[in-house]
Amino acid sequence: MKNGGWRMKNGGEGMDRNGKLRVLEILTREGQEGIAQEIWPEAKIVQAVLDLGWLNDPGGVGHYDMILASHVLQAVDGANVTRMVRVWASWLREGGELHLVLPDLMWACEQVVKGGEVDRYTLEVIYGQTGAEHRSGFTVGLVRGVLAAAGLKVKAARLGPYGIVGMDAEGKEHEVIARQVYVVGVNGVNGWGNG
Amino acid sequence: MRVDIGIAANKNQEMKWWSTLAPELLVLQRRGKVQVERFIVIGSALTDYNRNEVVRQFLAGDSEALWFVDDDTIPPPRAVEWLVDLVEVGACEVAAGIYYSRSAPYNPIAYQRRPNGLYVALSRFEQGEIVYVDSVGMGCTLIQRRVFETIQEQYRVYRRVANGTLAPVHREDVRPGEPAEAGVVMESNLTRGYLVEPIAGPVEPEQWPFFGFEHGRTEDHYFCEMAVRCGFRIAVDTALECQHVGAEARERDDFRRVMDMLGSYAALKRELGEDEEWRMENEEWRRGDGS
Repeated sequence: MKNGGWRMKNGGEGMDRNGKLRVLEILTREGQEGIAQEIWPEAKIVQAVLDLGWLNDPGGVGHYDMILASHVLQAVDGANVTRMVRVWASWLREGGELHLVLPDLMWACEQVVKGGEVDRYTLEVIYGQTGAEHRSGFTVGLVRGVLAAAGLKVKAARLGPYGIVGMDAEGKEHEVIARQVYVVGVNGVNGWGNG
Repeated sequence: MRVDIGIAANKNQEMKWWSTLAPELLVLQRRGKVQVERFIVIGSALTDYNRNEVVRQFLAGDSEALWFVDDDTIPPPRAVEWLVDLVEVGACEVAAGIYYSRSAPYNPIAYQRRPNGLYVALSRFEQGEIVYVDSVGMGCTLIQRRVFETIQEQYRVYRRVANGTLAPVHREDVRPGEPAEAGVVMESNLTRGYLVEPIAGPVEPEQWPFFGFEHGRTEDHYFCEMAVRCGFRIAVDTALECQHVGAEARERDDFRRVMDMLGSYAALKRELGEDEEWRMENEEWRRGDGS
């Protein structure tokens, strides 16, 4: 799935410090096109493919200002989601931010409950695609719970457009997935933010 | 984090309120993340006076934030800690929980401002979202100290000659010029004009008018407009659902029921074309603003 219409309002601002931001972008597979450079054009971007081995050996990959995981966490099984987020949090410097973008399970469930035709895009929000099956699901509230359990403070939590456009039977364009979840967690800040 | 709790009291508090808030404060102190410095309770029939007096006493101390809790609003457990987090990470300077009107349509006491200056209650959000608004009720609201201090720096207070009430005016809106005669001045097209009222000052009141019941609006709009004008952000954490206690406690489900009914009503209105009236009114305002 692609992140066509997604824009993070806080994205370009980053943290207030001199020098380039250090951003780690976590991808789901080799060769996947990232979106971090588009969001933080001035940043130094490092990319890594999700590795479930991190759960046992987080390694020392450095301390980042930002970590972006767009549509990644649903590939981790529910029992290990919080552990994985803890690993990522350990790679953040103090005040660093974890940006999570995820499919909105609540939106998909609303479509199903509403009745009528449920298209494959809606089902993909729940189950994923062949070869990229979802092993966990999220609502904005669930993601916040995971961040809190991982010791991160929530800075932003909102729903945004997905930006995937499809055609209906009459060839008319329409948005097929209307919402995704965007939550930002901050690694322990002492004192008031923004001075 | 050192926080004062401010309660603008004007009712007899329900047992449910005290019996929920008091244990929560004990647990809060034990956890130690938020240090409650003072409990400032001011009670009279005038909510704006009560709030202003709470702020006066808060500013006389040295706590870093003021948490307003209304005497008919029950915050959920750990509410103040979550609100402190929001301010601490720099998401906003005014952070609020969400609570719902005690009467139909039970809308959230959190608002967006329309171009014509009127407010519309928040309606579309998923529980757990952090939503930025233009105005919010003070039932469960944490305000950073510098918000009050900056408002005092950026606003001057004048006294209305007609009735002695106070009127804060942003310093950028104070311009030298010929004294205007009191009354109404209309532009040539007779649709927009100025209401001119004689004032004296600036004055330095002992109790600064951060909140004011004026023009049939609640006192929270008065404060929020000044805070927004000074560049501060107001965020509502919709995960923090408070109970609004009256004869019955009102919550999100009450609001959702009404919204579902209104959804059917709006569809009917669209069919009848009545939305056109509202669209035209908005257009008129935009033309008036020159935008």
